[in-house]
Amino acid sequence: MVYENPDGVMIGLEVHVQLNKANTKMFCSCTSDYTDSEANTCLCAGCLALPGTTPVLNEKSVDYAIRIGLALNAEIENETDFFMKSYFYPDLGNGYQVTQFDRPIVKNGSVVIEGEDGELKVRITRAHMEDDPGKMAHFGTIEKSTGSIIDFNRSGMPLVEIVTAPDMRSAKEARRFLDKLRSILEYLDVFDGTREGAMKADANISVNVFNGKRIEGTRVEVKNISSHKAVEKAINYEIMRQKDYLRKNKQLVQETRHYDEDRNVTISLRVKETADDYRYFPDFDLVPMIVGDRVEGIRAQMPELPDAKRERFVSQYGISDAHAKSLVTERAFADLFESVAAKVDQKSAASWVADVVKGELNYRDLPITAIKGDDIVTVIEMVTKKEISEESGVTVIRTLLDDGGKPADIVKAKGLAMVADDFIATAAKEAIAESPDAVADYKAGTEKALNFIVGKVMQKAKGKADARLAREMVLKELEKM
Amino acid sequence: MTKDIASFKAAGDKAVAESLEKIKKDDSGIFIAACGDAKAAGSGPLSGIPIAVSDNISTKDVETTCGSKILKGYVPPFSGKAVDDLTNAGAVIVGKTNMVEFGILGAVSTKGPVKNPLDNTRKGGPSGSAAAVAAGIVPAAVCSDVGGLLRVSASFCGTAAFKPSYGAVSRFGLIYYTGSLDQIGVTATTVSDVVTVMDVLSGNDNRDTTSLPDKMVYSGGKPLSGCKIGIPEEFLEGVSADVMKTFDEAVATFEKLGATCKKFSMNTAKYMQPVHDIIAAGESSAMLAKYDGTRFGPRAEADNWHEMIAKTRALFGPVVERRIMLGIHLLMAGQYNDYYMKSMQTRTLIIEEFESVFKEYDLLISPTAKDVAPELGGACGAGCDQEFSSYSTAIAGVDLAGLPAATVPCGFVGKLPAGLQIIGGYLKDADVIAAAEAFEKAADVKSPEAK
Ligand SMILES: [Zn+2]
Repeated sequence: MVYENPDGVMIGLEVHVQLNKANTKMFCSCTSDYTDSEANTCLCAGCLALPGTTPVLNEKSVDYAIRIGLALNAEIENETDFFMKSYFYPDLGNGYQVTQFDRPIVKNGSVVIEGEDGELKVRITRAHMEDDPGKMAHFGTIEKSTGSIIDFNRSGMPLVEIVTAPDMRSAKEARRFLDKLRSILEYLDVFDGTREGAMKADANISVNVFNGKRIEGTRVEVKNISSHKAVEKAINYEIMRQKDYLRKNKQLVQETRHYDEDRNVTISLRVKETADDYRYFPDFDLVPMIVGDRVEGIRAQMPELPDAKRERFVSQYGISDAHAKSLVTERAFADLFESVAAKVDQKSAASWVADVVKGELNYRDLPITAIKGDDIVTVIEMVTKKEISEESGVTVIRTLLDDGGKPADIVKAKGLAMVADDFIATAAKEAIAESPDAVADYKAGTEKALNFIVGKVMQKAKGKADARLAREMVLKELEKM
Repeated sequence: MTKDIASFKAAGDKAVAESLEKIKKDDSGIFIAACGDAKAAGSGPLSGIPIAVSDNISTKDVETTCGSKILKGYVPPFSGKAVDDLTNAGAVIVGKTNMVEFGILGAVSTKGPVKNPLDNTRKGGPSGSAAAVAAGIVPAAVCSDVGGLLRVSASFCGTAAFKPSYGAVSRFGLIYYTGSLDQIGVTATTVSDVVTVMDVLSGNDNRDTTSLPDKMVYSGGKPLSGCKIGIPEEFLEGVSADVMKTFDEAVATFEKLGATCKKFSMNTAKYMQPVHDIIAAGESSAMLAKYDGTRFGPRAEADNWHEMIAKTRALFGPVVERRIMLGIHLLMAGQYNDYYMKSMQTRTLIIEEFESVFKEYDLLISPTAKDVAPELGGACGAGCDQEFSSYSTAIAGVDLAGLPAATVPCGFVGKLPAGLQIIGGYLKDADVIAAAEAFEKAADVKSPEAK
């Protein structure tokens, strides 16, 4: 199956990743975790850009950038440097952003995603380091406002901007890329994706086929899309808008558009008649860095990444690829699985963690920390020993998440313990005696009739029987007849 | 009129109070503000000594304006490293010396020009630091030196001054407009006093990435006997006949002290001033961008933030404004490769030529400024752009290569002093100090009135 890409869609992404686990900001000692802080409380003279302050580079942010580069299968520049990018905006304290220019620390990498027609290699053109400005909010709308307020907590946060080639052909591929990237970044422990503003994307979109003919598309940039869901919607809207323009023979312009999440539309911000002139020039406050000598040390410390882990899970534990894929999307889930798999049957561990636990957590929007690995082990063991039924096991997991407690106590309190075998044997005899028609049907070759009898047994056990066992018992009794 | 550190020390407790008294009465535009009090004196090598710092060095809780309207009322919440070092050594910061706006030569201070204590019809230089020493108000002043802000002022006022190798003194808290060219230095009555203060200021500071890892040592420099001194001919171009005479006498003194002096030509000399000007303009356009009225300093009333920034920035003086505009223009994509990029490349060539020159010579000398202190007012009274580059090629070269350089008085033209600049190779600060001290002692330059 080859994806035809009927509209010749080309999508490139610029993803801004906040290195919010770098402990401190990029050029000062303020905390990089300001999530729960009041506005303008995580700042100093440096990140407020008061006169006379000098930047001191957070070396950890450089190591993190290298780690990202290695995870993206990219080249790491041996000698790299910072440039000043000038523009006026009230939340940009210095009046320039410290960024990189022609020697980005990372270049020429790739990420493999699940494309529309199998594996798709998305090329990473470059990834560079830069600092984040503060955050401005306007009273009123972006176009018309009566006043603005600025929070400088974000000012000076270390960022890595990852730029892809226009290799994605649909909104779905773009979203998958972002999901994969986020998963990789979390594995690297450079970033906590749950914090606000941790990951933002700009998308460059063009439609290059019209009426089945190849055309020179117009590249439109959609800025500042904050969630992965929004990325998919924004891109789909923009593709639809461009196709609509082509159909109506309306002129498309190369421009920057803003995605309005509430209205699900993109709005024109400004038309780019000429490229912006940011007057890039070398930052004389920061001496060029030689980073080549750190690369091997960082490489040696690299964690196992999702793709490698997925392959290992399949071969080491003999679990299905679907389970492995589901388990590795988040490093914490993979770790949870491995801790559980060390104590119980590995395939059971995979299905309980990937199917039950993950689903129940997602349904409740709970973090993985809401459940203990040991409790999962206990539940699986109880099910394996037939102390409780599988259904009851799920009930225990749900109760653990909703009310807490210990699995054994929950089983006791809810009366989930499986009924004894002789009870089932008796129930089977009773059920057979009470269902002469079904027995006759079964004997006449209607397999389905068996289910009726087993159902009756389950009814008598009030669900606390193992269905497989009940079936075996019924069959055994029927054979005697 | 000048008084050295020892005589201030002799005055004991009264030293600071007397100094403050004079600053408060200052009507020569030497100071922008007085600050500190005698009780603040700590113990250390500068215990109880009043010291002045230029108004572009941040002083905690004391208004710091860089001589600009755009910083009126700005009170830094922290002190520069230089200020902390001085107070830790027991000194009392008694005043903020006047300076041309942001240290940009040719610009005008909110406080007007500095009057020369030796002749009040003349300028005391682009900063008030040397005038503060020459007027006997303080024994030493700390001032950033870019384009000669410190050295030219010292030359005009007949004081000794020294700018170390780039990185010897932390720039933390220094409000520089061109970070790659600026470096904090000291002026005092004698080279020995300059060294006393330089010693306090020097040392690594992890807040300034360009700070040198090791503390600079100023003692133990090469003696002048057998010393090879070079005189780049280009550094003498445009020097007035009177100043040239004092320079020739200085050369004779060096030879008497056993040094050999030889004129030679530097290929890159003609590029030094233009490259200095282009880099300074480019860097200023970025360094002065933070003055937008958002976070500190005055803020203009406006209907929206675009207008607020534009109106606030109109508080820059016209020379500063033109410097920024020039910088913006030069950094734009259309011009960048032709001017800024070429300037950076040429700067590398200049540094390389200095390196090869210093393989042949131990030191270089030149007049510090082309002429003695100019008259107040005149064509440049309200600020002028030409003054930006009128001092000397040698000063520009020293800034570009980050070299150590001293200036000591080498003679008088009437009652106005002329300065001699002694330049050393990068990190050869001690050699420059040794030569300056030996020359100072041998030449024993005194004003005609003192004779
Ligand atoms: Zn900070």
